[in-house]
Amino acid sequence: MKNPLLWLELRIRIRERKLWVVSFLYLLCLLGMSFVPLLSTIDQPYAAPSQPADIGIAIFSTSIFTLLALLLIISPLSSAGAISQEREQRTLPGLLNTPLSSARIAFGKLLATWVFILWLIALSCPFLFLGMIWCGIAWWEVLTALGIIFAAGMLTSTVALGLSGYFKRTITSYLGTGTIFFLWFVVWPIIGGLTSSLEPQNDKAAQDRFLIFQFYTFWAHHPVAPLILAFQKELFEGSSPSPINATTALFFALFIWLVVGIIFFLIACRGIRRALTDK
Amino acid sequence: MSAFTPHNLSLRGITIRYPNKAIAVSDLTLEVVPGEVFGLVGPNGAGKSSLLKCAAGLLKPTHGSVWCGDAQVTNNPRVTAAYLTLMPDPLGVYNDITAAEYLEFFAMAFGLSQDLSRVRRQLAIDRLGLAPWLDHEVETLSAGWQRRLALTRVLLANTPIVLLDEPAAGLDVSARSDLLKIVRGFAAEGRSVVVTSHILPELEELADRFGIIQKGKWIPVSKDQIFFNRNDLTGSFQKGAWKLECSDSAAVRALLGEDKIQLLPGSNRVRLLAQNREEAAEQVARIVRAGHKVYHFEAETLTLAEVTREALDPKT
Repeated sequence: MKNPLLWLELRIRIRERKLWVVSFLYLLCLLGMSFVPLLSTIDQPYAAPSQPADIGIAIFSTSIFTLLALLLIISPLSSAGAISQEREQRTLPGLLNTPLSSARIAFGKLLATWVFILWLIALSCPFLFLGMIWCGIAWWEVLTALGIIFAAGMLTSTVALGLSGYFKRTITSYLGTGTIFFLWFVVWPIIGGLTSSLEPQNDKAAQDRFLIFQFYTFWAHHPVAPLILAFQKELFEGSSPSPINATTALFFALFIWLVVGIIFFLIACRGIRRALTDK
Repeated sequence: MSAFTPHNLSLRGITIRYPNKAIAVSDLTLEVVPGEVFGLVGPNGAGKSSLLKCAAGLLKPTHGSVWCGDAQVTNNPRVTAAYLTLMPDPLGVYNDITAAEYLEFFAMAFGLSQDLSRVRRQLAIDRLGLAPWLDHEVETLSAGWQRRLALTRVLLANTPIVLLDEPAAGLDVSARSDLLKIVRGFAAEGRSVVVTSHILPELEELADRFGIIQKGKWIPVSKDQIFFNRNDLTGSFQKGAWKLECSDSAAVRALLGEDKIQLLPGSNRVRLLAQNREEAAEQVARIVRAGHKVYHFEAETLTLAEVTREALDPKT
């Protein structure tokens, strides 16, 4: 293993009881949510029998959105204290008095979080492939969903790591991360929704321009957006022709994630170096 | 263990200004040669730790440069790490891992190959006596053993320069004594060592040369002297007083006069005051010629603590 920080973080995490408790609760949650579509068909004995493919799609859709929701909570939590804890434990001067660069230190910590996310995703695979067994979902759709979910986990953990480098104390780092994500995930899309009242009337071209502006400003970069764009296109395209192209929007979202990820990674690196001048 | 090339540590005109505009260090110059232990003395907030962090490349100096041998390493921690190991204060050790894992982690951080890592880890374990503690979590080790563990970084990196910031803080007498032996061992191998400590009697025993720092500046101990060594403490920094144990202190006092002899507690112990060694020897010869016996004769010297106190606050 080339990165010592990855080695260290994995050693520490594997020994922590927290890892196994989180994994167990996560599986329990996923199990419950995945069987909701199945139970809903059992509860309606007089209704027309569902097609297996419909059940498969329902299980898959429920599972991926539950998985995403869980990872959007867990992944920031697992990296939000990574640098501030080093700062509180005063381990950074000793760490930087080695050939390790601040970027390598930050990357090692990030990799450890990503390995944890991969572990959680691996645990969820049986639920997603359940959808495949019931038919209606192709293997590449499962892989696409997992890829997008992993990318969302990478993004949120990188943002949390950056905030951990920015804030001096771990508790402030957690609170700051929670606040930023609440603003991003909840408040900003709601503000976007409220702007609908400003939509121009009686001018189709102006309406389209407004919709594009509204979509790309408030919703396209939301961590849930790419999954919706990939699997629930009808939400955007609907029955009438939409000015928003789902594929373009998907790549736009991933590009924004990449840029945001790089910015917060640089903030994390700066935070590591800045810790030495704290007075 | 592969030999390292001895290197001087040169700090040239270092000034450190923090982002809040506070000046931590102002135009300091210091040269430490291989095999030497330099004792950096000063009150809290004097700038000692900032100076060491700057030397290790962890703090960017506003002015000045840091040299390890012929290499300029100013504000370049990754390059500096090849020459210099810093043991900071507070120590900052990872609590959730075992001592063996701590060693393995830093061996990886220093980029050692597997073979070299194994050799150096074993050497560090043997030399610092860590074998019984390898499976213990770092947080369960005593402060003394945590310090020893931190010192393994010197042996793992095998750097020619070692900076120790308050290495004896929080240690009991026995642990301090062991630590001093280890640090002296580093110097004996040809490493250049800088130590800061508030425990001055031990620093006096450990270091070869000293410098006093206050508010980021060197404080001179005399008109033209900033640095001083142990010989100065026993030689040129003499108080002009000698301790004497003789057969009859009252008679000696009567012989030389009250201005020359002060009685000390204890049987027949006196303090002889003289301008210099020659005058003191002459007075002792007078005592002997007068038929009194002199059992013990020793110059009173200043301790490092006394020199420091006097330099920092000349009024006292």
